[in-house]
Amino acid sequence: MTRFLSGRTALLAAVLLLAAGGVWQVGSALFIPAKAAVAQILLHRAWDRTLTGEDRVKPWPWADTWPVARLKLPDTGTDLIVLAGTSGQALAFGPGHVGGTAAPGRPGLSMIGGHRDTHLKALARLKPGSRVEIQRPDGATRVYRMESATIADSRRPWAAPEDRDQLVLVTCYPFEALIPGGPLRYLVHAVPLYTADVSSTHQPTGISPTGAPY
Amino acid sequence: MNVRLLNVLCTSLAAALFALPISTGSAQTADTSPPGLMTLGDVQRGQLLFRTTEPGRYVPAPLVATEVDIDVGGIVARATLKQYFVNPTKDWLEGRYVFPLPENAAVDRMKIVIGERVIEARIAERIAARRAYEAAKKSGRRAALVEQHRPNVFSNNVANIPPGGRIAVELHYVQRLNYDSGKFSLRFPLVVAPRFDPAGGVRHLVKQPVPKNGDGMPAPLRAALPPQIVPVHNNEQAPPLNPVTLNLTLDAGMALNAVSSATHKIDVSNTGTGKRRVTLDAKTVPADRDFTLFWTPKLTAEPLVAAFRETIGKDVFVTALVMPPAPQDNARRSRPRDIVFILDRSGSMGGVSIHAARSALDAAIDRLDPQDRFNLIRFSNETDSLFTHAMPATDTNRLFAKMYLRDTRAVGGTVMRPALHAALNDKPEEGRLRQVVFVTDGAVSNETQLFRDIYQRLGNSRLFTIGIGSAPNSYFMRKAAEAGRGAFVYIPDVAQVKARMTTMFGKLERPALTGISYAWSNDKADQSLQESFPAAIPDLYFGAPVVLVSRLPAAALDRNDFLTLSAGNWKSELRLADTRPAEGIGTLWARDKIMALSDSLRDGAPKSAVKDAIAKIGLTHSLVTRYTSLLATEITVARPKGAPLVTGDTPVNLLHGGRFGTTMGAGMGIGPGKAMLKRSAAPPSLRARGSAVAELKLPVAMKSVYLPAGATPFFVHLAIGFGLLMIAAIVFVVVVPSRRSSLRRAA
Repeated sequence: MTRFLSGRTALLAAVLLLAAGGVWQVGSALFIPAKAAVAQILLHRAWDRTLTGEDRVKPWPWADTWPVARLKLPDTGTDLIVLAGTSGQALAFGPGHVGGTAAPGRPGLSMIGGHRDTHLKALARLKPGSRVEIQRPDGATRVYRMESATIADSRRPWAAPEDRDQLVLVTCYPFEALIPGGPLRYLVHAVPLYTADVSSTHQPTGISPTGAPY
Repeated sequence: MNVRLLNVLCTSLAAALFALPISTGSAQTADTSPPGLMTLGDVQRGQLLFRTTEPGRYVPAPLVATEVDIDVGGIVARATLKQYFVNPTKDWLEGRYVFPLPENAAVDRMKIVIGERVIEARIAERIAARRAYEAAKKSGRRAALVEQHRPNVFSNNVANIPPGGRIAVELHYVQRLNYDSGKFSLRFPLVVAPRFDPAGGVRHLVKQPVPKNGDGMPAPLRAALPPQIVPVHNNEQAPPLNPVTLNLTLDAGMALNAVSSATHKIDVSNTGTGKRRVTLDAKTVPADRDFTLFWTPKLTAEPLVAAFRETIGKDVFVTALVMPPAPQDNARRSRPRDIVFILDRSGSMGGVSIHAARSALDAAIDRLDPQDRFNLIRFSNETDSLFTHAMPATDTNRLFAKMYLRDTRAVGGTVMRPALHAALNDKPEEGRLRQVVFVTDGAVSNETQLFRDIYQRLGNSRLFTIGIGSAPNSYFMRKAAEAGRGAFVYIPDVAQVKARMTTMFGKLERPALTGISYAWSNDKADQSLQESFPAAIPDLYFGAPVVLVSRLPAAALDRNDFLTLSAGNWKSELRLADTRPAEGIGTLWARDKIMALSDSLRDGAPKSAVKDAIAKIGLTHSLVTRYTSLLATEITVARPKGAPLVTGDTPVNLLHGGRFGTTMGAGMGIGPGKAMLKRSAAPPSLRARGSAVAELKLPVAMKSVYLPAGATPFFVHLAIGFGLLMIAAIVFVVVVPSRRSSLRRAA
């Protein structure tokens, strides 16, 4: 009887352990979108401060990144704060501006990367012709139109004509893959339409022609 | 503190909120097929970044074969480079081929051969030549134009190659040979390395001075200037293009010991005392690595002197090579040194180059004395260093350095300035000699800026350059060493590292011969008629000779003028009558004069005056310069009216050992004729999008980017979590009823 009981206890303990492990794993899975979402709330605050002229506003004291732009995809209702750099830590909180490319919302080749299963999930639903809006720290918004999407292999450096004014949004591909870390990337190419001033995001008054110096 | 609390609170709140939408949302994405996309099988093609300017019209690049004949007389090499342009298409083509030449070469003749007819080129002012070429091209006449882009990069345009036709272009150039540490050397570059321009990404051809508005060049002509990028042949897809045959006759003017090549297998036949005939063993070699040749003169008791002259009109041009006596071996320096090594680990160093660079530095670190201090700086886009400042060369520090070297990989761009600044800014201790050893392939295009930096920041330091790889930019390396008052050594491959580093260290460790002066006997009398280069002889390191080139009035020959060289208690005299007549000396002088004029720009000489002076030299000596080009045009029209002319670039081979993906973006390559034809037959859907076909009119500069990662382990965690929960549930479900049944049984 005691032997049976102890066996039963051991089994129950194992069940509890397994269950605890399962809860922990599911928890850490859920923590990913949660972190991604909550960070954006804090980032929006940091962005508001950035718009008032502060530079490199850290969204929380121990952050090693700061907002550099605000990305809106009106078609999918996406509104995200873009961070400096694309380190794994930064990307957990928001899409990141790829170092070495033009600043978001500035002429030239500008690239923003993000996770396909959190922030930039919406890219899969974006269609050629969709609007892409980038608000810069100076408050002006540059409006782009999606032109095409391509797939690239990240094991090789990707090259594009530098003089071509375009915004590239990058995320992992395929979207439905379960295991992260695959070599393929999904690239959304968008071309600038116009730049609107601080005051009027919707009524473009201070339009400057595409590609003209600012 | 407040923020942290808020963060935690928000996190737990959002965790609950987000659990559901995320997992259902992910299921949705599976059926939303991304827009503008082909199946995965097409992906490779869809990555090509160039579009055709005319949709539906794609033309393979003309194929090229090359024949090189080099005639070496003493210290001058005269080379004839013959290039065959073959047109495998049914269209009339314009071919453009960019070719590298030795950095001290002067191109002085060109002709095009079409069947039996030979058209000699004439030298013309650059813009006028470009205009005449465009006119000939438009009217359907055959034409060829050779232009200089940088001191060692030239391009050759050939217009109106008939369908299936063949045009040979013959170029002639003169070059002075190098003599160092008992060896003469000749290098014939066969590839142009893709260069990195910090301002503009990878740029294969170097900046072409695009004229600004108001220079009198009509706008349509400006638009017609050649594009700035050369297509790179994708060596992972097809065998190397552009076969080369090379023949060399050597008349050293002195008894010879050995003749060898470090880069190619050669056949050498003895044709007399000091005379050899050299051919390439494999008969034809692909143009993917530079050809080098060395020969060693037999040592005699006489000091080595080689001097040649050429009389042109009222001038006599003289070039002299004089070997000063070697310093006594016990004069080896005892002054402690600070050595800073700078290692270029940019993408262009990928392949064989980075291996050679690592072993060169390994060898260098082994040679350090315990009293020396050293540091190691490496750079690509970013710069980092082994120590914050120079540290003693202890065993431990050397070991650190070797470990640091071992995990150095070649990736990224070439941003050289911060590394250079870091090396030159760290001030050495009083009484220490600082030597900066720079290991690079020199694939940069902001050379002028770098030279200026070296001049300004050098102080008492010395800068030595080690050129690595199959095609280093030796113009940059030589000029950088010159500006840094050091020396330059070229290491073509790993096998050469040990021997060359010994040479380099010979220089680093021995005192240099300084304060050398020279004078011609009638200096004062004909000051305006006489000019010599270099104006001041630089510090001479062990094994290096004094090399001079002078222009004197022809009367100097009859006057029996002589040259005096002196340094400390060494003195040497050379009589003009003792020089041997040779061809091409005038061209060498003109080339040096042009270099001196270009250098004067850095010291603030007015640009327009320098431009006029260079153009004048170019026109008198029939030289291709930045402001003069060689142009050949036919009088009769070849291309029938109505037949269009298609412009194509001939792919340049990737460097030997370099991998396609390291320097280029994926899919940027342009294959040989066949591959391109195949590509042009891509599915119509692809063509309509215009993304699949390589463009023939290429855009200006390419930006290459490493794509960031873009996924979280969300599903991995979720799957493991649910899996564990499931097992727990199953075990629980299995165990609980069995317990009940066993209890019942027990009851």
